[in-house]
Amino acid sequence: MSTEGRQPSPEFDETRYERPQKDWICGLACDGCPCRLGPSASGVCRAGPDCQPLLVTAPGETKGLWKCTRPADWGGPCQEGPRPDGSCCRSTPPCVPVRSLRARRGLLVSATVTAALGLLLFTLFGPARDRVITPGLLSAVHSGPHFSAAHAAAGVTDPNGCAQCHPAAHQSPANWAATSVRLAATGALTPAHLLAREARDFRAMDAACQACHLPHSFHVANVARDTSCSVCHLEHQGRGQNLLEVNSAHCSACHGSTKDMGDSALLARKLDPALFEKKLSANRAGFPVARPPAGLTALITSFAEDHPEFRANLPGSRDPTALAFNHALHLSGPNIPLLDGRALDCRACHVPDPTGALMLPVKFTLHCQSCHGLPIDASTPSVVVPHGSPENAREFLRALPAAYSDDAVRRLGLAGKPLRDYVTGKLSALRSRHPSGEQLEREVFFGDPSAPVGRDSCNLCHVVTATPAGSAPSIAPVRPADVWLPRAHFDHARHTQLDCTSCHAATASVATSDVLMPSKKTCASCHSPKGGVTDACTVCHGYHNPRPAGLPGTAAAPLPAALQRAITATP
Amino acid sequence: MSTVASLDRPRRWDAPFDPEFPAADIERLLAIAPFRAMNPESFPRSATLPDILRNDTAIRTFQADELIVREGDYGTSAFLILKGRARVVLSPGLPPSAVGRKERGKKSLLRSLAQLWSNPREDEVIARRRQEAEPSRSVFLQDVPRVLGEHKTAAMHAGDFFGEIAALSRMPRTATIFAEEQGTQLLEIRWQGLRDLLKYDPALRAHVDTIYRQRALASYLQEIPFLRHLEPEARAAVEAATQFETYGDYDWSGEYKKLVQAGAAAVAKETTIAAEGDYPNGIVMVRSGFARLTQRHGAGHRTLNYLGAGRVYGFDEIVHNWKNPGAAIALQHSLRVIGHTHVLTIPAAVIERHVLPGLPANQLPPPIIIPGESSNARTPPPQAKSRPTEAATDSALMEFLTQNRLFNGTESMVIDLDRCTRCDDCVRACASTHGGNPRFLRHGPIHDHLMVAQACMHCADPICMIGCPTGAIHRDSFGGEVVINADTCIGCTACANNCPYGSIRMVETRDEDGEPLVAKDQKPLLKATKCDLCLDQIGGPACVRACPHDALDRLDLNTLDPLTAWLNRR
Amino acid sequence: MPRPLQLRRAVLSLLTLGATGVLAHYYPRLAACFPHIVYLSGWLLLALCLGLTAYNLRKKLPFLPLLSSRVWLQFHAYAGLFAGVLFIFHLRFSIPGGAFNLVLAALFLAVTLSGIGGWWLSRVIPRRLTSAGGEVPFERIPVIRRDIRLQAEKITLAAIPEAKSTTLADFYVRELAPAFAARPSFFRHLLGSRAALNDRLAALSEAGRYLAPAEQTRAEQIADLLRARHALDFHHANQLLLKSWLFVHLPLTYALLVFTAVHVLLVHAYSGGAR
Repeated sequence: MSTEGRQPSPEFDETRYERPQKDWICGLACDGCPCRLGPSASGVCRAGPDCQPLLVTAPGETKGLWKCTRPADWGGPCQEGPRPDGSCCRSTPPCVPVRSLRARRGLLVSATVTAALGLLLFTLFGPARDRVITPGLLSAVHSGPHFSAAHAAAGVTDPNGCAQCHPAAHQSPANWAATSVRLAATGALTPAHLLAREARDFRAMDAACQACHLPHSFHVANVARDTSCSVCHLEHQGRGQNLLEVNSAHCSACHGSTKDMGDSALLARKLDPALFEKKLSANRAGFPVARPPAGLTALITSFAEDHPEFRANLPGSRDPTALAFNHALHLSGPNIPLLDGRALDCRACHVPDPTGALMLPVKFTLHCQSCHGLPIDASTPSVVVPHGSPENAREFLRALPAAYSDDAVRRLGLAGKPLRDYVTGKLSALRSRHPSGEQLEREVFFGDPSAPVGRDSCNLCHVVTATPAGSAPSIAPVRPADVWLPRAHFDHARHTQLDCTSCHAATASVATSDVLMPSKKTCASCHSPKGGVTDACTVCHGYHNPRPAGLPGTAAAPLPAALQRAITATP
Repeated sequence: MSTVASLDRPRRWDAPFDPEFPAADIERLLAIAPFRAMNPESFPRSATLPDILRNDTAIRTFQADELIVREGDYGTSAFLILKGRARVVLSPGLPPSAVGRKERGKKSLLRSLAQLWSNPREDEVIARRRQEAEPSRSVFLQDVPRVLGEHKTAAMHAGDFFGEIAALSRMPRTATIFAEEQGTQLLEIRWQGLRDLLKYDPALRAHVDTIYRQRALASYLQEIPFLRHLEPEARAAVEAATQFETYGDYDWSGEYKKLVQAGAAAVAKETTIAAEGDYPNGIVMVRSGFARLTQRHGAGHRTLNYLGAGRVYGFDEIVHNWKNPGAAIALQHSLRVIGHTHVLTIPAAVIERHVLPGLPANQLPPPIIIPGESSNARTPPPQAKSRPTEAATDSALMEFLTQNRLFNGTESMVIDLDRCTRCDDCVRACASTHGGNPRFLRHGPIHDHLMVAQACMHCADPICMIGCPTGAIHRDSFGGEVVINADTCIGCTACANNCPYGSIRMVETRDEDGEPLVAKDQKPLLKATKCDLCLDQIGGPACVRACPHDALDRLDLNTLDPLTAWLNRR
Repeated sequence: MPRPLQLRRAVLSLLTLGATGVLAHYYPRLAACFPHIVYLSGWLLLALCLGLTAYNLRKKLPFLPLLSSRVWLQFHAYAGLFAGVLFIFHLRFSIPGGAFNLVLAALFLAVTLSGIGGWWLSRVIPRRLTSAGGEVPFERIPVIRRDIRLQAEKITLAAIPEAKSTTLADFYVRELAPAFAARPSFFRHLLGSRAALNDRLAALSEAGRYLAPAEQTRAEQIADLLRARHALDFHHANQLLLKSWLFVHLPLTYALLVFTAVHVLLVHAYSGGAR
């Protein structure tokens, strides 16, 4: 490359320095004819005569001659020369000096800073302060008329409610400064606190939350590191935010931390196991699983990766229900009759509860009786052994004639002789098959070993044990579990797009003891980043639990000293 | 400009070399050689011999073993021994530690910071107080017997003259000289006076010329690498055969300016020292100034390089001819004078007889390959054979540097226009470090994206110093930077007119209120100003440190390497 | 062997990229461990902002050995970029709520973007200026502009007696005098438009048909002056742009600092929750 073809540099007076550091420039400079002296440092024009003529008196003469003394680099002596009175005939026209570009920039900086300060002062001391400085709107549940009403009812007079959580809200900015300095120097916001992994003191803010949300302060008894409401529930995120949505990272902060889980495990061993019992609602039966001695302290960072297998599915786990039921046979057996013209399916027995989340318990009358009608003889299906109590069944067998008679009156409308003949006929037919009443009773309870398959005796399904003479045989009570994963919420209604059998392997189950819960892996096939369905902890688990009676200390307070010592003493 | 105090215009001898020069001594001096022999009539009225002695000389008395001049220092005065004995250390030179060389003092951190508020708000304000001259520190040579044993020295006696090389050639002192006797008395003559003495007294001029040649020769030949191995007899033979030659005008600035005004500094107009195609009959060593190395290219001459002090020309060809007696070649390049050039020539015959036979193989230059002659056609580019490091600088750049004589600069301000945002941070930094006044103009000759700004380049050959009547412009004794002493500058504009690069600017001085200071004749009082390389600032040149964009640097253009490296840095 | 400046650019870019990567990788993890990560990133951001603004202070103290300006600018540029990234993390990838925070964020964004824009201009415009030629110190432009106009007038006047005709003078007064007297246009020169110059040169050569030979040579000189004036205006516009972006960057920077101070105050005074 060369300089050819480029415009050459213009010629200008190179014998003078350029002074870009000056704040003021001659007002005539932008017209291209700055004066010789330039403005003063404070921007005053110093234009004046071009020179101060000098009186030169030649030797021997009395009258002198005024001579122009204009310097050579400003044009040299002028043609006109000084006036007769010795003043210069030329003078630079005065100008209004202007600020240099840089000085104007400095001015703009000052103006902007002043404007910003003014705006801030107006904001901080003005009426709209709270509205301006809020970091975002409160959630819908914490704002609006109903919230104000609740506030008023609770006797809080603050119209915006800011001071409920932020004690400094209605103080002056000067107080804020004092508060800030105190917090940053000695309070909860010192560098040491900020760099600590423990949460700093947030009792004041939590107390504000718990003014309304008191029952929600407890997690589990062996929690090693307590946390603040505001760690998980972040306010001021806008009206539309859902405060209940909690990022899983907050869970894994403890559940993924070796130290925290180690501490919790230690605590769990020291504490009374009764403190950890999970209470279910009264009409629910939970599947009984043993709690590990160290509590639920496995390290978990994500559901798909290291969440442990559901404890219902652990090896050796079996359904203890005292009932013989063969899922596979009922769903696909060859001799299963049609029900309302359709083959049996899961829904024939398992009906969702009104919320749709869990299944209602299976009832004999609703789900079994249509096939398993319990008739005493096949010719009169309407005369059936009552279900529910062995004593009632024995009473029924011992009053069979009355049962036949009632049936004939109710069903056939017989009376008198025809009725008597009908009952006698039935009884004699029965007697021909069962030589004695005792034998009939035994067959009803324990079945006839010689009878063909399909008989309807109690022990077909139930565990029936003989008792000493004189009393009815006993039947083991049946209460199948209907909450299998007691520490998780599961909602069947949200999984209706799936076949039951894609999670519950019922078609392959022949024994009651089979646990038909899906494995964690099955859930994680969808509930994982790979599966595309949320794997947030809160999908299944809740954080807050009711506080059990007898727990030492309060949740918000530090651990009891004895426990603290136990933790630190254990290597 | 109404009421301005009129001041006496400063004059040449306002600041005599020795303010307390005793009048009696002038008589004494005029009675001894060489002043006795001088004809007072040949001196003009404006500079009479007694005036010169009174104002431009000083009598100094030294104690035994006290250093008088140090090798490497820049000095602008010569010495005449009046009484006693001095000893010069010839070879090898004394290490810097032994002679106590010390860098110039910098401003303290606080004084540096104080510039933030103490800089005058007006331009070119003259501080009325005179700066206290730093008291000269006496340095004594330690362990003199060892020095005498290990170094070659020579004694000098009353009437001997020394220091003239540094004073006249603008070069650093070539040797260390110390007083040998207690109370050795010297007459120190600053170079302005020496110049006048030489100008008006032909006898002294002849004498100084002779000793200058004798002494300079020995130290100059010492600098040529292939002469260092010589035996004393061979060295003597070489010294005897060496010739001194001077080309061009000592004050070449005027000539150069005329050339520039004429439109083209045509290569053809320059004096040729040795021409391409001639038979190589000697080597040429550039002693001071610069010479242009050219090669014929088409109808013109292409500049390949410029040779500064210490560079040798013609050695390659002579070695080639000595090794290949049958295939002698002619000179491959021309050597042309640029400005004032001082050269030594050693005849080829002397080289062949005394130097080449004993020369180690690693000192021999690489063989020359003549383009077109060698059949296997491995033709290196023309520059390749002179010095490998000088390769690959385009010839247009060479032309630019030589035409503008920019190679003279040792601290040239180069600006990369492709990176320079014209923010003037450099200029403002310069102003902040120089009492609120910039000391350079961010403008200058441009080649491609290279601009050499009009900031003092601190020339290897500072011709600006030639005309200074008071010695206000001088070289710093430690680093050789050219600086102006504002206290002794009389505003005569000689240096500004002499500077071919427009780097010295005359400014109208002002008082604290910004009113121009004028002399009795109502003309403004001028001062010469220029870049002083921030000698008194901590951290070096402020302009370089202030450039945010890596666009500005101070480079030594005496050789091409720093410039090539700098141009290739991005 | 890479060139020093290329090497520096590569190393610093990689460093910034690396720092961004480290930030992106560790910030969520740290956020889980340190409940106060937002305070920590805030303090780091404030420190960065102060460090970046200190460059302005450094420029006012050229006489102190405070590292060279080039080191500062490199730090300023790359640390500024990193601060922009850190800012996004500080905001938790969401647009802040509330008027105050919104203004604060907008200021930060404006300062960062104007800085990036200025950086880009500082690398692009110098090359344009250099390749256009006509190098000139900005402050001298008005003087030279006037000089050019006076020269043009002188040449025109000189042509009248030479050619004993006023054709060129008339043309000058009619067509060219306004152009020489006009203030330079800014945007047209930023776009590098030569249309105005070409129009005038075309008009001049068109008028050339009617000029006497003596006027022809003068017209050539005037054409040269037109080109010089064009180059001068080009320099004026581009150098002005190089100076003017700081008119945005600097005032906003200081406004940002003022807002940041209040932000720190508010955050402390209203603190209480875990975040």
